Amino acid sequence: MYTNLMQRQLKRYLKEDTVISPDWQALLDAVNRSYEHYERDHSLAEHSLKISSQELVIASRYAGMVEVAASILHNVGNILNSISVSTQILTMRNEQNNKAEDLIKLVDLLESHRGHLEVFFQTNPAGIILPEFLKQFANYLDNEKKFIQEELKSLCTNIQHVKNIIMTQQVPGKSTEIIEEIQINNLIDDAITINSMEKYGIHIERIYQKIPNFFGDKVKLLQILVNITKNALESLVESKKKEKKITLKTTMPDPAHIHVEISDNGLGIQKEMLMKIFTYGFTTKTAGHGFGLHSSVRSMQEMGGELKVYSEGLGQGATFILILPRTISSRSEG
Amino acid sequence: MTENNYKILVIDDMSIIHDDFRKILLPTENQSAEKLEEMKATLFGKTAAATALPPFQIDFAYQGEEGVRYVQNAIIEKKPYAVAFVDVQMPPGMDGVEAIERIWRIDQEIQIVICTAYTKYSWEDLQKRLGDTDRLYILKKPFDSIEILNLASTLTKKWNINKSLYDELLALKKSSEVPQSEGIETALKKMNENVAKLKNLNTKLNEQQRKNITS
Repeated sequence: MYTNLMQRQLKRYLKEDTVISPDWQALLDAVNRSYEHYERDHSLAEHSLKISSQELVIASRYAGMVEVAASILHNVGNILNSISVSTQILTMRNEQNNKAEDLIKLVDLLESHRGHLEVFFQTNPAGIILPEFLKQFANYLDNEKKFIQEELKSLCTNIQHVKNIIMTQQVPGKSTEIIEEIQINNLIDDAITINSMEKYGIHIERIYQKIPNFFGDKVKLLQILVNITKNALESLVESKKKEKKITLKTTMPDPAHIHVEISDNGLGIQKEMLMKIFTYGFTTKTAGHGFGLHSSVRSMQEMGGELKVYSEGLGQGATFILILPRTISSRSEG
Repeated sequence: MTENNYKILVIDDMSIIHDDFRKILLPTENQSAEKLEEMKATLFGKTAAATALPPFQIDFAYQGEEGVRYVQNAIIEKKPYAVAFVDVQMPPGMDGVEAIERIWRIDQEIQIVICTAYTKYSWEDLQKRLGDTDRLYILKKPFDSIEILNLASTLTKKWNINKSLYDELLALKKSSEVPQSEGIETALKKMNENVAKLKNLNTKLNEQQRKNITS
């Protein structure tokens, strides 16, 4: 039995009733064998290409995760510092509080005047100020209680903060995707929070359309959003513009697609660079490694979406557009 | 004798770290504590007085660029900072080491504590970038309040002693221009005192540094 390719060739060059002489038969067999080899090599090559592209997807995804993890470690580490300072201050304050001793001394004082307390309260300087002392004592205890309450409150807030950061990051092990319900406007706000965007004096404009929830890989999408907003932030900070602005916009141009537009008025991108910025290992940052946008664009493709960039050139800011299908790729909802 | 300088600058990208410094160096006093202490003398006789912190004045910056600007303005206003606490990792702007390089170009006297969560820079890196200096201290995060208290009070003291030593030197130079044996003698005596103070302080500082390294 000849390979498909061989059969096609025979059909093309020989008439149906051609009788092949045994002399030729050996040659035809040899040609067929090389076709067989070719087909096997081809499918092998295809197979390995598929495997390595999957590996690349996973690797770039991990690279993105590393970036997110580094920023999270930085935040959690600092909050931990605050937590430890709070406990130390509470401990110190508690150690310094020796008011019980004062009360004991006060009791001793009263004991020593037992029997003529009236005289003590009326004539002894210590007795005269004693009521005022007790009043101040009550004030002191009340102030101290408020101070401790305040410190405990900040302690609780910080612990809650760490919890939240860890919760938003619970990436389940090695599994490559988890489908969850996504509210895109909230997810963009999460990305802004993770980057602590507010504190850089950047004006954040939100033009959110009401977008229905949809299902997709929430963690992956969050990573992309964190990545793109972080780039915008860095570009804005470096641009040293007076009025730094980032615009977040969500729209639904048709019922099947959601658009997320992230624009900044930062450094912008040269025309020649626009194509290059998504390539693996390309970076303009001194400390960058060029994984971020590359992994973002791959992730978007995996989700059946697209990632586009526009910029009028250097100093003109940049706009990234995420085009998301409402039903992500072939996965079933839920 | 000029007034002592207790100006401190904190450069860190996290506002909660600013709060930490504020809590440690500018603690909220219990308003009734002082009145109670006064009355305790009448009630119980002599009591030990509580030790008070130096009157620190603290400014806070979120980014290296901002911090450098603060130092610049302080120099222009002739109210320089005595000490700066500088975080290493402050995304997205310049990092702490670069900020320190720029700060020392503007202000050669400021004492600097570099705060870091992990050792991105080796000792060699720091020496290469910042030079062989006697104004740099390393503090590992998470830090303890006692370390902040110690560094803030010791380093402001060091700054003030350096300043008065420098002033004395200037005075000595002036007085030596118009020879006055008495003037020189007094100045020399004061200088000697200051050198002793400085030596003493340096020993303490060295000890602290050693502790920081070994802990």
